[in-house]
Amino acid sequence: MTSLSKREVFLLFLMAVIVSASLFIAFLINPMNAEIAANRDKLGALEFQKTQTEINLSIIPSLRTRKDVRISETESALGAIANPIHASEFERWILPVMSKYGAKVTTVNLSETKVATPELLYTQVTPAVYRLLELIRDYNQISVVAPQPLPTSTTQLLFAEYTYMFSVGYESFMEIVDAVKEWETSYFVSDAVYNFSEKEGSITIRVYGVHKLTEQELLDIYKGDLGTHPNDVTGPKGSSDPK
Amino acid sequence: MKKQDMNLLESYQKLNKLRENKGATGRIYIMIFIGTLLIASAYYFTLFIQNNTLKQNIKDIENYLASPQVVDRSVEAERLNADIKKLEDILKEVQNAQNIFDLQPKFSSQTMNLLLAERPGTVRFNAVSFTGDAITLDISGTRVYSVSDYVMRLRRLDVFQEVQYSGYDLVEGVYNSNVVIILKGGK
Repeated sequence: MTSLSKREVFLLFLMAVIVSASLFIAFLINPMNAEIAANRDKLGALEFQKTQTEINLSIIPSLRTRKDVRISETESALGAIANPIHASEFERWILPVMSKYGAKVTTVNLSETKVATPELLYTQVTPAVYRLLELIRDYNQISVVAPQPLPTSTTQLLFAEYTYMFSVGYESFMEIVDAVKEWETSYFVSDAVYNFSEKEGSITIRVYGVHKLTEQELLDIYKGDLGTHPNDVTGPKGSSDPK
Repeated sequence: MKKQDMNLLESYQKLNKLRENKGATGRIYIMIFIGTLLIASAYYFTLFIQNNTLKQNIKDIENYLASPQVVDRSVEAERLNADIKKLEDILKEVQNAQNIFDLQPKFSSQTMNLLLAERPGTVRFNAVSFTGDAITLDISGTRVYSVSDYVMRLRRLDVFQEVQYSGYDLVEGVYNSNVVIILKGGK
């Protein structure tokens, strides 16, 4: 065996160091670094989740308050719309009004209740505009405010239409119309006709209804509404007797 | 030629020194190798500690998130949020419909009283009808200017969107006409 020169020994040593370091890095350091990076990511995500959770937990009292407010607002909004009603129940409200003002009902048409979107029976009249008018307005520095677009609704409600024809004096006819208006609910006189010479009138009432947040509310509102004498019934919202 | 003396001691010392030098270089290499190994091990150990700390932190947070109290309250928060969202959806839908109801013109005695109050003595009401947002007056005037006079009065009130007047017919001595009054919204 020939002895190695100094240079050869050094090169062998260097190679051994490099090989050892490479193996160390490849099999120990790199996997560990990768694991640390993965754990850092996981920890970051968990810390974010923890922060979110802590925020969520800290706002529970305010969420409870907010829910109560929303319930109150929703009940109030739903309360402005009448409850679902059958035609026979509706008669318990309208017939006492007719009786009160001495109307003799001759014909009644009661539609089936169906699902419908509230229809706005309203036309926005736009005044005529022409070139010269625009120039004159421009000269006088008059700016014309464009009319607000009419609201549209996609909300579906229960809908029925009830038409009553009856004989009655004009003043009583208008009292009946006012009585329906004063119910202040989602019942509207959509059509009304009165003939002064015949002393006959007819009204068509559009009835929109909606269920309430809880069944109990429905029961509360309708309490005493059915099976009683028509003159004892409450108004659609259960608040006051019709005039 | 002068014969030189052989100095074996000197040769021995030189040889010994050379051997010692070789041994020292080997030791240096070994020490460098061991030193490098120790440094690398220390670095690896640091990484190991760091990784373990991370794992411990992860475990702590996972335990916190999985604790029954936090889970229950998180569920409650989620349920509250979901309920609020549902209520807001209902509210939006209802308000949507309410906007229509609010704008819908209402037929009432108040409007009719106004129409009657502005009526000239020469005008008689035959019939009145209301459809949606329009009141149609079937009227008769005893004089030729009766109807236009009435229409003019109604227009001057400025409480209606429009008062439509489309003429009249003379029948049996009276001027019959239909006047259409378009109501304003939200009244």
